[in-house]
Amino acid sequence: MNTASKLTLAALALVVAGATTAQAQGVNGSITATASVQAPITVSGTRGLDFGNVFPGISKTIAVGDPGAGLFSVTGQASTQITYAFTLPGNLTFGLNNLPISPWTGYVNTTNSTSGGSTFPPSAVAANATLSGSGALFFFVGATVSPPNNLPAGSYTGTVTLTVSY
Amino acid sequence: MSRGLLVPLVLLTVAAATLAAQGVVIAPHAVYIDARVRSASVLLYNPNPEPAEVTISTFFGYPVTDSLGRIVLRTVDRPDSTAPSAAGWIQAFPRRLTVVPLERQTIRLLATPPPSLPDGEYWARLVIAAKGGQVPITGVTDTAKVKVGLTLEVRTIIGMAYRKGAVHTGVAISRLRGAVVGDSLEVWSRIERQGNAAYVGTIHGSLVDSAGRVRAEFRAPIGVYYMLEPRYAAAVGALAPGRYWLKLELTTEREDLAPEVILPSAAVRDSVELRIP
Amino acid sequence: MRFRPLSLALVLLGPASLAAQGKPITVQGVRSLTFGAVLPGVPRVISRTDPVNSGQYDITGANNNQVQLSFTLPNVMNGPAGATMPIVFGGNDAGYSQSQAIGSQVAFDPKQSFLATLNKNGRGSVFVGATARPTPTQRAGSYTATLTLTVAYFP
Repeated sequence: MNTASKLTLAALALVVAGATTAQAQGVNGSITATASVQAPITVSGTRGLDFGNVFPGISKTIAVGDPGAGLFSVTGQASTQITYAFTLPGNLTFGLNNLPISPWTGYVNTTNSTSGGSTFPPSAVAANATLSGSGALFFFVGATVSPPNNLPAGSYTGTVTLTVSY
Repeated sequence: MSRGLLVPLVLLTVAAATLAAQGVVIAPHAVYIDARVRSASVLLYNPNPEPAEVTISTFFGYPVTDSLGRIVLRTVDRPDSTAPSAAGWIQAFPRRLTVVPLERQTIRLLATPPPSLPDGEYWARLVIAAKGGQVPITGVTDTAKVKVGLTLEVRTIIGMAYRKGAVHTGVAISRLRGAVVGDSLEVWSRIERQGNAAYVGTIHGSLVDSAGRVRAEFRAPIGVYYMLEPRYAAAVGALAPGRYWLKLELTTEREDLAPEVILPSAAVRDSVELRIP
Repeated sequence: MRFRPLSLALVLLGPASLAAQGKPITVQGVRSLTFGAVLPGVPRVISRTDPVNSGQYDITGANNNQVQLSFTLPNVMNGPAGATMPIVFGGNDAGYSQSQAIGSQVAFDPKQSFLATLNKNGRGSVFVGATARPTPTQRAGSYTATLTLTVAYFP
């Protein structure tokens, strides 16, 4: 093999080597995954105030510790003070018929229990409470309905509103 | 129990369970709008199996303390021209919506401030009212004939702040005092905001004995818009007579808020001696 | 030195021959995988077919060339003050599209390597989705991570 041929082979070898090197290589590209965590607050009507059967002429009371008591729950940042207020109906209504509901009772606790907390009178006047160390607060609500003797049959409804300022 | 009786009972139980919770998850719990962007968003998530009907509104208000040291919201129906109210020019879209179960929905907040608005921070409150489906009315129709049910509605009020230009904040502590009442350490202080923006941070109080041991402490988020005289309480065990130090520290550290919305400020500390007779 | 022009010509021919086989291979991240606002305790799933939030890479190379795709995936996204948020990739969370259309993908497991063939113009796209799993006590703030796609080619 003459010198020219040797150099030609060498050059070819370089080309092949280059290709081999390219074959072994990969290229890469990157993207970013992004997320933004936002601390939430949740105010929930967890359980409706349930009077069950109501009979004309017979008052019925659901106490805060009864299974039928209404329950609101609040979750948010631990140890945060909140302001709360209730908007309560004076009557439950069915068409033009009224079913008086009063008085109201309340119990606030940092656990889902009616022991270890404190009673409060639910009202439109703003009051203050503090979320637990795990960011929880529970409001139990009870009331008394006083159906008149002549209360027409029907479904009597109303709305209980809890307002929480964070 | 016969199969025919079992089925209706089971169905009734399921219906009561699925209609139990009503309300939406709201995030963030404090909204900051940059004047260069003039918009922000609030995320609503309905974790319940029932659709939630949501209405949005705004008003002006800020936290203050009452005579008992409780932090309450002061609502100003008609803020005058000197009040840093953004309630009149921050609008929410949409203002009425239904969030279907296990879905998210975004509320857009758009600010259209007056053209000559000076630099500073402007406040408003966002009201998110959520109403779930009708609470099931229980009762035996044939015998009682009067059925009673109450719908639950919840309103959540969160803060909004619009920041334009240079904004800075800080606090000054004065009148720090404390007392051990029963099994609690009660701490009072006067905290005044400095600068032109609300101070948002964390308050940390502690009672330290002569050996340097912490005997009681509390830590809570705090937002000082003008001035607060809050009362904090912390559980404390039996204390031997002697001298103790009551320490109070405010920092702008908040794990529940994104760091970029926090206005940093140097920690502020104060302490007083507390003697237990 | 009369042999030198021939040698140089061959050396120069090398790259020219490679170019004739197709374009140099490139991979470019063109769209981030975006979870957006995330609530603590509520997993956020982004599908690889999500046209706005899925991640996307574009690949160019030799026409009809076969390439091997492999990901380097994070387990967590990094947030403020050292906080991390788990990110999970399912077996169906990556997709390859020869037509570069998000609606026309062949799914593959991003945790395994995948052989793909570039189209007749030497192009293809990879789409990726994932699930962010914030803990119930996840600290507020922005979280990020890097997803790297490595493309090995076989000339």
